[in-house]
Amino acid sequence: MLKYIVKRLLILIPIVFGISFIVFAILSFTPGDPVMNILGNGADAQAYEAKREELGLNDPFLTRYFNYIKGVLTGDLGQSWNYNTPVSAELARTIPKTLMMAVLSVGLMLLLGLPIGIISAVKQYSIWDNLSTAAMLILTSMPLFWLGLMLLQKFALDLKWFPATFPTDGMGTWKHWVLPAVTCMASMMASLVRTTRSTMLEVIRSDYIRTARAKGATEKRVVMKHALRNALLPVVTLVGLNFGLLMGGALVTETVFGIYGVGYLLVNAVKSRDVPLVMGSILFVATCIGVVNLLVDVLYAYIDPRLRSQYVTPKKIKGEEE
Amino acid sequence: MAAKTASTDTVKKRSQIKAIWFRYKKNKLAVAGLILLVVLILVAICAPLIVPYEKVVEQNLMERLAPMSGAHWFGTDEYGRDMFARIIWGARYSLALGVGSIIISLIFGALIGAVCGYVGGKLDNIVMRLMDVLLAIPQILMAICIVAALGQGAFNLLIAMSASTVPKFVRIVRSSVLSLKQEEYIEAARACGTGDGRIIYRHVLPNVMGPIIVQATITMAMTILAISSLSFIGLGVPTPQPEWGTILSENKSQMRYYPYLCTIPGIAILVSVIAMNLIGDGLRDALDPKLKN
Repeated sequence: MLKYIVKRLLILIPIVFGISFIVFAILSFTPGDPVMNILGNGADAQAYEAKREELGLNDPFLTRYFNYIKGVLTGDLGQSWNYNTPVSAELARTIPKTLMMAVLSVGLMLLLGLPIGIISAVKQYSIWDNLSTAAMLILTSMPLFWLGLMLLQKFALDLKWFPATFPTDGMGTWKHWVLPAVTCMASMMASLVRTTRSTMLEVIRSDYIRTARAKGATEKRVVMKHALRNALLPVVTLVGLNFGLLMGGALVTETVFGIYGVGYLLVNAVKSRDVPLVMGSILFVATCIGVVNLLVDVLYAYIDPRLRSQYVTPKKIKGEEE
Repeated sequence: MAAKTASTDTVKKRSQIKAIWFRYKKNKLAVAGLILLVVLILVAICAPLIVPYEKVVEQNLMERLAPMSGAHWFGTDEYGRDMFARIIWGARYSLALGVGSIIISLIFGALIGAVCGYVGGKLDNIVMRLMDVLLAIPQILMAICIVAALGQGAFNLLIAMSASTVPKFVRIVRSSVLSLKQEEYIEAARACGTGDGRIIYRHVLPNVMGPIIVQATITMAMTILAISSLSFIGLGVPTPQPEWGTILSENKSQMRYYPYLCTIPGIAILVSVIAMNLIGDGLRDALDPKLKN
């Protein structure tokens, strides 16, 4: 198992470097002058040249990339061109908010999505099933930012239950997080409900469920103990996938609610062409996604003993059998 | 002989499409989705006949923020532009961008995926590792990077969305091709001396089309959402062009007192995405009857 984890971590390294190279190349070979962006149009030639030299823009592309990677390997993500602060400091400021948002929305999604999915499957074609299918279709088809705006309009501006703005510093109170978390989890919940429902339906028809029923197990025990555990595997993938995506993908929700998270940081960095900041955020997101995917795979083995054999080399299994 | 083969070919094709259509139309929701989409496409195509483009951009500050009325069905925005005209013309942008980007990425994805899966070996290995890297970045982030590089604009957004979806299609096509490669009819075609290009085009691609079309419809729904999201955060179609996400972004400051300015474009996006999702679900069931049982 350990060998497998180490192998996977090793595979992650070229992927993260590959991403960094592609993004760096995209940002480097594009029209437009970052120095002009920073200094403004009125800058004189001397200051312009000095700034170019300072940012290392006069070096060839590959030299710049290697310098950047050298920095990253020694823990230096560079300085933000616009804020003049270290990129790592900006990330440290934004990561807690993004993490909080991811944890809250994934938690809320599980809390609501799993029961709805289970009920839909157990009571297939009932009114509840039809209602939830329709609701989930609407939720997947809804633009998140629109849902966020509508929630803001209703619950923050009309009813005044929750604050409409997010404090620039600090994490805010629980009231600040309700609407963003609900917005963020909406479409994820829809896919969770769909997955849970379809895998539960598959499992419920299998022989061991019939056996469990024949043994006289209560319906609750059949569903919760026998069916749910076996239907959990795709659900774990989905949760992992969403959690990884949320580490950077919550950018729309963060923009709507003005939460200064990684997504917000990235969007602003892209708008102002702040290359080190874009690179830093993308590297962070890519690493998160990679690590979360690995965690999901490891978790698989714990949930499903059948899969554990895959991580063990064939030789060892033979040895165990002997 | 040749004529005979051609005629049996068309008969077979027609009957296959008929069989799919027969299964498709049994699903009422899928048919409703199709009708909705056809109506939306008609609106997009006929936009110039419904309202002239001048109304979309024409500012009339005397009538700014006018409520819904006979003259302005959906009211006017803060520059006095007619919202009805903007929404109707917005269908053109949103649908054309969604459909266009899927077609582009489908063509490239199918080509690259089919060649990689069929040829295999080093080429496959190199291309797939590249795709792994690209797939590790979430689609919207990739699109943002490309938009950042190319600059804002409808055409650049089209390129960004297409490029960021290509890896997904490459993967799907490649895996389908791999599973087909060993089939006997492919072997038979090869034994007949058919060239690789022809085998891919005539025998491999038509047989992997089912899952790809389903995936394409569902991806199209997601792409329309992504396009409107990008426009909303200011990295997509710039104002005054009337993309639905852009319209929402323009009007969000007026949301407090004129909520319909935000509600209507949102509903437009919602309806078109629902239509695509319904069609995708219907097609999946129709193309793969095994799944349904």
